[in-house]
Amino acid sequence: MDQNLTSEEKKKIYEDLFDITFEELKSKKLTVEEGQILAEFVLDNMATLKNRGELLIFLEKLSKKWPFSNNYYLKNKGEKTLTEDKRKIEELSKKLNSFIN
Amino acid sequence: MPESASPEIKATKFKPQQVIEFGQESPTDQTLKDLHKIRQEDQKGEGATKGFERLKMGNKEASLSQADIEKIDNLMGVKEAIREEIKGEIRDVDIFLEVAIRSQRENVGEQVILNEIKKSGKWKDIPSLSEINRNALKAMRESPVIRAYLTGSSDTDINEAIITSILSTPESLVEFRQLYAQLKKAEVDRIAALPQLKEVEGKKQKEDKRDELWEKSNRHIEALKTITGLEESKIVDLFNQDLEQAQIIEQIFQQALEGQNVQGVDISGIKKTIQSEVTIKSLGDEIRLIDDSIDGINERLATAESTSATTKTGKTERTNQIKAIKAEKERAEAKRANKQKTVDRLNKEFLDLTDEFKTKISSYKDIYKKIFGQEAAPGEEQINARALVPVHIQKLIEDLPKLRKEIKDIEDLETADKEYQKQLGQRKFEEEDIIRQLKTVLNDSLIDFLVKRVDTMNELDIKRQTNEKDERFKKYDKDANKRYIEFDGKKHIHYRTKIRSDIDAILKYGKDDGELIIVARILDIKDAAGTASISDDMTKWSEDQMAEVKKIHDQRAGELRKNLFGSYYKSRLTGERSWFKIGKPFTKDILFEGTLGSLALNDAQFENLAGQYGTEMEAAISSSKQAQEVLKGLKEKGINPNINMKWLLYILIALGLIVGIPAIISVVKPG
Repeated sequence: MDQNLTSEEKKKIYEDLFDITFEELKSKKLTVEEGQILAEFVLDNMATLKNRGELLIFLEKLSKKWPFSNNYYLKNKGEKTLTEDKRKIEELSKKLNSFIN
Repeated sequence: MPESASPEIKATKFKPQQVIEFGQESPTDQTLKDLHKIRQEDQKGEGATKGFERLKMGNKEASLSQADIEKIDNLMGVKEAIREEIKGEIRDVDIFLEVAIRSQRENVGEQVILNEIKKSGKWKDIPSLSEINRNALKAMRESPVIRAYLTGSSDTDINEAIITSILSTPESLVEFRQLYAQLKKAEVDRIAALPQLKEVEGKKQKEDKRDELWEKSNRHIEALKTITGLEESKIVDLFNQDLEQAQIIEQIFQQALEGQNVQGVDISGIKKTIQSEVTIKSLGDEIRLIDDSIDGINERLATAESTSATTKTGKTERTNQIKAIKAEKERAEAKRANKQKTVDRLNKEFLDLTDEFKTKISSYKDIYKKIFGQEAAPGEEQINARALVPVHIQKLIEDLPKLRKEIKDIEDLETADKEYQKQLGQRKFEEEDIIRQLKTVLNDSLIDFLVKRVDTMNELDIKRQTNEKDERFKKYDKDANKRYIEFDGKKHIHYRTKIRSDIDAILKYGKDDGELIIVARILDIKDAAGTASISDDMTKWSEDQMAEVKKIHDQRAGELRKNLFGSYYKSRLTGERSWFKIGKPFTKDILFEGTLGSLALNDAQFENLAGQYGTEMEAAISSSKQAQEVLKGLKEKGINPNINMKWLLYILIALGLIVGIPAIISVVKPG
């Protein structure tokens, strides 16, 4: 089951997304109109996000619409994979332990 | 043009820069500034979220509209005159600002812009331009902050200051309008968030009825009190318990008995017995009626039997009539016997009762009669099942719950109304707060605007000071760099006198003061008249001069030492250095050994310098791997490095020339 997002994590995601968006705006790579649509998309989706699985789905959609967010999506995807791998290893270790003992 | 024609509307022509600023393409600097500020300054940590909300707005400059001011109409508890005053101020200030911004940006007349605003339908009931200007300026003029800034000025002067100084450029107008609109919007948006209240319907109409019902109910209770002898509270309690009518009667009876200090009465037994008596009496009456009926039957039978018939048919009819009357008589007698049987049974039961019980029954008959409405006293006048007083009590008991229900319904309305009144009070409180805030927005936005302006001025001032400081440092660095050795494009010129003089300053005044004097020499500090140099006399420096010298020294001391000693070393090696060893004639005694020239330092002077810079020297040598290797190499060659050697190493390290040390080692005299 996907890990639920805490309010702190959500805040961090908002900040990360805002910062990368702001850089795009500043470097004139993102127009105001696109920025407005993006802001609406982020606000609407973020409001309903509950867990990391939903976050990744949202980030994937975001990166398809605005490729500059792709790295952020991949970073989060990687983190999720790492967490899952860690969990799998822990489970396996538990199984081995129970087998040995 | 006919007089009635509308004024000509001049088409707005935006300059490319203006289009960009209105945000069709890239975000304006103001938008970026806003976004950055929102992201950084939010105290609740929601800066990014709010930043996105701001971004959603795009480049739109914050402005107000009719829709905003109409929200003020929802302030139910605020007098219309106050609402209209605030609405008027918002409309006039916003239009005033928009006209001022656009007329400057688009370089067209104010009336043209106002006409466009009118045509846009953004506002209703737009006053004339002069009225708008007068109202907006008056509102701003009366703001405490403006009055405080421009104390003692006339209205005309203040108007002039607002237009020509405070809100003179489109940028300042836009910035102020944004603050004003945002603050106003924040307040009017609070109105929508106020709790929606609904007045309790029919409450007022029912208030009169409630009093009437109360009166009636009280009369009922009073009557019950009189009849039963019960206390009012006990009667009221009974009706508060949600009991059936029969249960209420039972309870009243029981409490009435208890009221007569009769405890532990078998009420059902008494009731049964009294009811039996009632039944006996009633059956007795019925039996008497049956007896009367039987008497009548007998009379008819006798008549029938005494009548003779002449015809065969007549005889048959007579026989049948007699038979029918007899059958009727039998039925009546059977009915009577049946009733008599019941009477006998009940009488027997009554006779079987104890005397004590019989006494009790006779005592309680009155109460029973009153409450249950039945007469049990044999021999008395028959009171039917619904006698006057009992009928009253039955009715009372029947009516009271209905009355109470109606009263409760009205009271529920009152409770709901109380809640409504409470919420209304809360809403009024909040409405008053909104009005208070709305009234202070203009002043607050002017304060924010002026504070921002002061901040900007401060920033510029700091920048200016920094630039000035940078300029002074640049000049110092430039002068310091060419103080000892200067390249004229062809060759290096060594100013040995200055090197010697600065080293002497350190030897004479010590490291700290000596270095300050060198800095002062580079800065060429002059006396108050600006003519005589006072660089070498610290006592003559002003506080500002001392502060400046120290500030530069704080940041340039390392550079100063490197430059001075490096230059010393370079100049000493370049054409100056020579070693003399003068011995006594004909003896091996050495009279003089050392260097000559303007830069020559004797051992004592080297010792002095080494003492001054010992800490820096040791630190530099011990932290330099190459210096350590050099020392090691010297020792291997049998050279024991003395203070002069270390001093040299220190200079070489400072100059970054230590790699060239082997060549130098050969010219250094073993210690």
